[in-house]
Formats: sequence, structure tokens, C-alpha cells
Amino acid sequence: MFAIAAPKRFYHFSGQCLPWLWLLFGVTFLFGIIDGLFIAPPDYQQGDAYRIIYVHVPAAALSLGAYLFVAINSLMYLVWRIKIADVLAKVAAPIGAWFTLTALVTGALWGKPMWGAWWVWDARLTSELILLLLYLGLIMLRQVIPSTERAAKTCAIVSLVGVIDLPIIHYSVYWWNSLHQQSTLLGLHKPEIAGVMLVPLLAMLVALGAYFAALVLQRARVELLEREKQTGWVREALV
Amino acid sequence: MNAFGAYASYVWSAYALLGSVLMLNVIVVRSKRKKIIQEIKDASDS
Repeated sequence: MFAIAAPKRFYHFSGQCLPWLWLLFGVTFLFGIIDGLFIAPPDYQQGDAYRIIYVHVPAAALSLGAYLFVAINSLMYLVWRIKIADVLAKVAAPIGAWFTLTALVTGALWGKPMWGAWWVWDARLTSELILLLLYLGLIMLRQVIPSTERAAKTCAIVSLVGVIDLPIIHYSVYWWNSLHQQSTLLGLHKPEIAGVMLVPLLAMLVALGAYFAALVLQRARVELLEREKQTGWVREALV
Repeated sequence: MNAFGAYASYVWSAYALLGSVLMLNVIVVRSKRKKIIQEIKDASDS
């Protein structure tokens, strides 16, 4: 793990992984979209509006997953001072913010026809909004702190403090009387969704997971080029 | 195919949003990559 953390090795290794990740994304995304929109049957209560879950659930899952990724990398940076861990934490935060925004907006698009409201100050929705604010805070901290090292340290500490929001988001539907439904996939019971509706959901989860991984690697490579542009290996790799 | 009847605008908006977010992120990272590679090449030429 530590060997791959060397910038030069990471750059070459990530370059080899990227085509496979984009291929996995393309195949599962196409399958998930076609299956979710046109093959899976309408829900007996929600009709076709439930098809929004094929966007909403993976986006929400990735919003939490991305934050966990940021926090793990922040911890690795604080403990072992691994440079690449800071790079990964930095580049994953904006992607996580986009997924959080997508989850919130698609939730509103589902909420309006089903609940009759775009937004309610429900525990699940509010804690997800706090996650978006955490992401925005991390992005802004990077902008306002001029020293890369100080920004890395500060963001690492803030992101670790913010981890407390993750269990709150996940368990909010159990701890409080929530309008939001309980977890369909990661609940305390086996999945309560028909297999024919579950398949496109799993495909979209894999697709967005692959997209996240590919984009993180791609952004990390750009960030590495920026940070290491004075070093010999960068010129060797590009010229 | 009814293309989702009364819910069409909600469903298609959700998918359009996802498509836009995915594409926007790829476009941004590609343009940043292009810019930094050009910068490095220019610096090595001069």
C-alpha cells in the first residue's frame, strides 16, 4: 500500500486502472438506465415516479461513501503523512458534494409528487443537507488557506469531526419519527424490494461507484501533475 | 409507451440532472488536465 503511495507509482498505476473503471461504468450505467427506465415494471403505489430511486439512492449512497473515503484518507494523512492520501481527500470532496446535491434535488423531485412537498425539515433530509455544507466547508477551506500543508491538516481534522454526521444520516430514519422511508438495502432486515426492481438499482450503484473511483483517480492525477510539476518524473511522463 | 405520464417531468428531470452532473465533472477534469499538461510542456520548452 505504501509503495503505491509514491506519486510516480500512483500516477502510472492509476493510468492503468482508468480504462477498466470507465468500461465498468459505461456497461453498468447503460444497463441500469435502460432497465430502470424501460424494463422494470411500475410500482403498484407510486407508479413510474419510483424510477427516480435509480438516481436518488446511488447518489445518496455515494454522497456518504465519498465522505467516508475523504475521512479515511484524512486519517491516513494525519497518521502517516502520506501525500497521496491528502490528494485523494482533496479531490474526492467536490465529487461527494455533487453527489450530495444530486441526492437532495432528486429527493425533492420524488418528494413533490409523493409527499406533496419539495422539502420538509425531516431528520434524514436535514442531516443530508448538513453533509453538503460539510463538503462545501472543506472545499472552501482549501481555497482560503494558502499553505498546502496547513490546508491539508486543517481539512483532515474538520473532515474527521464531520464523520459524526454519517451514522446520523443512516440511522436518522430509525432514531426519529421520519417521513423518509427506512433503508431498503442496508436496513436491519433483508431487502424489501422485488428482484426485478432491485437489479437496475444494483447496476446503478456499481455504475456510480465505478464513476466515482475513475473520477477520483483522474482528478488525483491532475492534482499530482500540478503539485509535482517541478520534478523530473512529471517531465519524463509527459514530454 | 406513456413515457411516465403525470410523473414524466419529475422522472426525466432527475435523470437529466444526473447526466449533467456526470458530464460536467468529466469536462472539468479533462480541461484542467489539458491546461496543466500545456503549462508543463511550455515550461520545459522555454
